[in-house]
Amino acid sequence: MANPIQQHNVPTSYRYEICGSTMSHIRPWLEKNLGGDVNWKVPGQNRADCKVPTALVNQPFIDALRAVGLSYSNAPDHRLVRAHGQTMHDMMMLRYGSFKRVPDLVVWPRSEHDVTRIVDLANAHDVVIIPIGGGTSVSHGVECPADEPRVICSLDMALMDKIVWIDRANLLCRAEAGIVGSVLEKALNDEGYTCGHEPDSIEFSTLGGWVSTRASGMKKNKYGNIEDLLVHVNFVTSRGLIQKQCQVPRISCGPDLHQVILGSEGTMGVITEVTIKIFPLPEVKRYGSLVFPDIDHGVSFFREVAAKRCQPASLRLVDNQQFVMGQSMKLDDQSIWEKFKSSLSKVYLTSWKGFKIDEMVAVTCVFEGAADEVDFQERTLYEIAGRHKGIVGGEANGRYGYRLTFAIAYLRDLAMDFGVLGESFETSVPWDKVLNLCRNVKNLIAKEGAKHGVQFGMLNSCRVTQVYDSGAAVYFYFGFNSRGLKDPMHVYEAIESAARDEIIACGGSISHHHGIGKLRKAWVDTTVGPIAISVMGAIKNELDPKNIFANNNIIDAPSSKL
Amino acid sequence: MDTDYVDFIKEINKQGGPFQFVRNAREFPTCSQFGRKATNRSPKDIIESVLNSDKVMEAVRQYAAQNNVSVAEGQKQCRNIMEQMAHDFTLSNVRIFGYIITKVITTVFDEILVNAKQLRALRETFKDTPVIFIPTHRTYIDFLLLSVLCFDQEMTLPAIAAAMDFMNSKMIGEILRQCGAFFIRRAVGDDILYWAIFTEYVQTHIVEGDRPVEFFIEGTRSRTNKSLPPKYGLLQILLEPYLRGNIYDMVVVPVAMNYDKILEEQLYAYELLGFPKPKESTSGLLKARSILDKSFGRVQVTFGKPISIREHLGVSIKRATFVCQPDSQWKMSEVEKRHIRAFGHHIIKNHYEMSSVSVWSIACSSIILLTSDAKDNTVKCGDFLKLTHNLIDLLRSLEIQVHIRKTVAQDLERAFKLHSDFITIEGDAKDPNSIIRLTELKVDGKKTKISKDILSQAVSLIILTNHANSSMHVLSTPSIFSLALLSSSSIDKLKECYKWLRTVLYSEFVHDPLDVDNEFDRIVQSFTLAGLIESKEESVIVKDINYIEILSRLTKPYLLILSVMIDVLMDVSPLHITMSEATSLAQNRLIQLHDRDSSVLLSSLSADILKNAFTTLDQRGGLQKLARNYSIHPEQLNNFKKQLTTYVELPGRSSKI
Ligand SMILES: Cc1cc2nc3c(=O)[nH]c(=O)nc-3n(C[C@H](O)[C@H](O)[C@H](O)COP(=O)(O)OP(=O)(O)OC[C@H]3O[C@@H](n4cnc5c(N)ncnc54)[C@H](O)[C@@H]3O)c2cc1C
Repeated sequence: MANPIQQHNVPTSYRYEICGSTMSHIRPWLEKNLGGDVNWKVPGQNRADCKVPTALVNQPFIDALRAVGLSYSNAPDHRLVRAHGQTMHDMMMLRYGSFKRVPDLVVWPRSEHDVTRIVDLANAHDVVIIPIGGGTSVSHGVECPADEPRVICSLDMALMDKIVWIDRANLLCRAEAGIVGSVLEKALNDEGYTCGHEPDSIEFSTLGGWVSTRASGMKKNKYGNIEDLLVHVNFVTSRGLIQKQCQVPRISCGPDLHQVILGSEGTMGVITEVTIKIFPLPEVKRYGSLVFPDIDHGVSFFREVAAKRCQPASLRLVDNQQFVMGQSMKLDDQSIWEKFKSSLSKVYLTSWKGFKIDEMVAVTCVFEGAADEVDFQERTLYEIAGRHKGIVGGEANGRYGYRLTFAIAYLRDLAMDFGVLGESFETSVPWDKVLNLCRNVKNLIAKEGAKHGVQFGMLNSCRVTQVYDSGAAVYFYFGFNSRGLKDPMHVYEAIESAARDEIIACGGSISHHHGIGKLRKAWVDTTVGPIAISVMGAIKNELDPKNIFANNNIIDAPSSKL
Repeated sequence: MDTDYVDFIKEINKQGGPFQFVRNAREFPTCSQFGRKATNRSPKDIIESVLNSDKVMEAVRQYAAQNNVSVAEGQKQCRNIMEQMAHDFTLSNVRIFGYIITKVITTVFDEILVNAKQLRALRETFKDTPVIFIPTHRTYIDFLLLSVLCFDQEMTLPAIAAAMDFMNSKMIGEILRQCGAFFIRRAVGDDILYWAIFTEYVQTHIVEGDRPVEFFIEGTRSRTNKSLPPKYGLLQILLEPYLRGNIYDMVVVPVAMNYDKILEEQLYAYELLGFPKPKESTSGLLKARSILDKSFGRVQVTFGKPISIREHLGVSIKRATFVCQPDSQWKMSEVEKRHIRAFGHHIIKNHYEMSSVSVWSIACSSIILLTSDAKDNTVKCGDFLKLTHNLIDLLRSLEIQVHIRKTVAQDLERAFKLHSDFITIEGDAKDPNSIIRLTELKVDGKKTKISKDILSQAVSLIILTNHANSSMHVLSTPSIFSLALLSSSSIDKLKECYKWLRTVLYSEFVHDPLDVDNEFDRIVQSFTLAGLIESKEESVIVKDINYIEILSRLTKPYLLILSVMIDVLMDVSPLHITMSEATSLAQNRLIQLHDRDSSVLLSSLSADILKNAFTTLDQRGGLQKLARNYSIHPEQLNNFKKQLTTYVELPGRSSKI
């Protein structure tokens, strides 16, 4: 049993190595910008000290599991690790508090057959099942509903991590749903392929998790999002297995149930096996970067790129704060950054007309493909950039940009030692509303922060991370130092919720790829309307009449069951 | 409250007089909203940005297609419109004209009281949030004064949405332009180019925060001293950038400007009698030199509490409602429009709350009441004083504070001096038998069909009425309620009557139609507390019929005019008429009535009241607007008249005319 458990250790120390060089600079940056102070640290409790509620016991269910030889555990640390995802709230609970409700039991199926048996037993014994992949959910997706009176069984997909086959003729790969992204990618790379799906959580998130949350990868421009990659899926429900009889590139057969399974967030059944598209490894992978005088120019550049459909595999625009943060963390000491600033203003002022250090923004990109194809893409892109006052910033900067965003995701633990609370959230928005949304949401965060008494500066930054024909995805970071605040968690939640309201008021969506979970349920009603909710409820009710998959994500399960 | 006000005239003298005042160095804040650069656009830059905006370009394309002209032609037209409209603000010129303006206002007014701190505080607000001033509008001094005050408090001077009629004189127009005024047509109709340019021009000032915007929610100077119904369209244009998320917030500042005496006072009176409106020409203004010899008393300027639109509309209008519309195709539903209207009324209510009730305005009401009582329309000093005191006491019992500056007697003495151009006491003011007499003002008989005699009486009567009107914002509710009390006693019926009267008199006494239920509850309560009525179960008993009658008579004449208007319309055949035809017919009929019954006052000849009556009948279905005129619907008029007779005896008491 040792193996799957280790995998769920919270990703911290491992990551620090990868971005070691950045690490040494984050501290000074924190001190300067977020009031980090070595004398004011708030170390968290040891994980072992986090109180775990005693497990409820459903003996007949356990007996039944044992009877068919399924591995399970009710050890407190196993249960705790599967009680949470990776939100700020989750981290706070781990560090300073405790969870009201955690799974009472963890099971590790090894096959689809095992899954079917577990689901059947759960129905027979009225036990709740919460599927879990990598546990990287950032929407309280795997969290247990606090008021659930039944035994909750975490169904851990970790042992279902095999590649079933690779189909070179059709460029497909079938794998079990519990396979971790990076493992899948490594295996495909070894065969000369890639699946092209690269969420920032790839080291931990799983294939099944991607499907169940409608994940989006960094390189979706070239390869597509998970819904574009998915060709076939097996789905175990309380009523039985859902599976198409054929594995075809497209089908017209009424409404497509794949669209119901995608984004179901563990509320209707378990994804057990998935067939996705694969692609030959690109000949060339190249990074690139550009600098623009301000965010308006950056966004207008993006707009034109999207209209001409010449976006490279990845294209990201970071705002001024993130750009400056990145630059200052990169350089060995702050004085160099200061030097850089002054040299920039001296040397480039003539050629970099209108560039101001506190306004300029950066674009990073990844090109993938055949050598001449990449050359061409690069040329086209830089030509368009020129029309929007963009200046080429070099490959090293581009590579660094991606490393940094990758790293930031895992640096929160360190920042938390200094009392810094931080979170990221995302949305999608039509082109004509991108700038308004970015500006208003950041303005709101700043104002709310001040209103709640935040004293030591804020991280309040956004980036445009994906381009589409009709709009873009925008990703926000916000963070603040909890020093001097009575109830930092409350402040944090108030700001986060007000920010989502503002996003929606500005024409953004409830989520581009993080999903709903329990965190964003409040906005589902207005997003899709009451009829859509009742349709979702009806589907859920049909597939899971006893509400076994009661993680309570997305919508409240219909209460009346006949 | 009063301690918050400073006398601006004293301030200027402290600063070394008007000349030194305009020369002193000042620092005006610029607006840099979060995530936006502070623009430093010149008036020319603003014009170019408007002409090149998506909105205007789109309108040009549409216009070209519809009218079969080239896009270039459309653009040329746009430039013309734009040049007619735009301001040309330059601080150096503001200083020059500011000198003249300051000189004039410090001469003609005795005191200019301003709660300047409130204005000064806006400097901070404006640094990151667009500011919109919404003042009351009674005289063109309004915006000149506001700009001078801003100048004094180092608040960035606003761009002012001014009515086109100020442009009648090229020179004055240009001067105002350079002080930041831009000019809007009164009737835009469906001129798509004009709409696009105007909308974009106003909005770009807000979005880019070039300068605060000042606009008059009443649309034009009120000639009657009563608030005019808010102009919803312009309000909507102003709020749009917030609703669309172009800006994070904006702050609206209602401003009340209360004058003892308005410079255009006489001008308005003539105008209301249907004289061709004397153009505001340069020579007219030079003639205004004579004005400089007169005193116009005190001005009180009150800057209201700034209203954050985000906070105010945040709870009622969900911006998320609009987000399915592309930015370029933006439309509002009826529900949202209703909220915008409510906001308009909220502003008017703010204006009301900041306008105090003067002793003089109550005095004018008593003079009017006594005039219509007396057979020969003469008013005796003794009766006048008694009624004035009674009214003040009555209002106090209704918890309406009359603002007494010194004592009632001193206030009156001062007022009679100030208004001696249209009203005088013959003999000793202390002698109860002295007569209060309205001055017969000159009229140019050639320009009108009505006899000179009648008109010269009417002019000062109308001025008097306008003075009385300045407290109608608080008196209309008790008066209309009293009217209702006289005709019904069950509480339900009473409410119904009250609401009916409220709507019928909407054009005269602007109020928020959505608030009328609350309003009714409040007035019932205050009448009960004052001991004027008593509620018993489902019915209401009048305790003091005398006062109820007096109160009712403040608004009753308007009902009478409505019914006269109906009579006039019913006599027309064929059944078509224009508004101005109806107005002059009604005027003739009213003069006949006045001859027979002196309680019908000549102030009812006011075109404003007659037009309001006409509009009300139009709204009630008694008329129907056609391309050139209105068709008359006798049946509806008849029904309406029947309802009216519950509240008002027919004119001329019994006789059919
Ligand atoms: C640092 C970081 C970076 C991230 N970057 C990205 C990114 O770039 N793009 C992106 O899209 N997301 C990103 N995420 C969010 C998260 O990684 C995705 O939502 C991911 O798809 C979740 O996969 P998981 O295997 O960890 O699922 P889990 O977190 O374990 O579960 C997520 C939800 O899916 C359900 N579920 C999981 N597996 C199954 C299954 N086999 N059958 C049925 N239901 C199942 C769970 O019940 C739960 O409701 C990031 C998260 C973190 C912490």
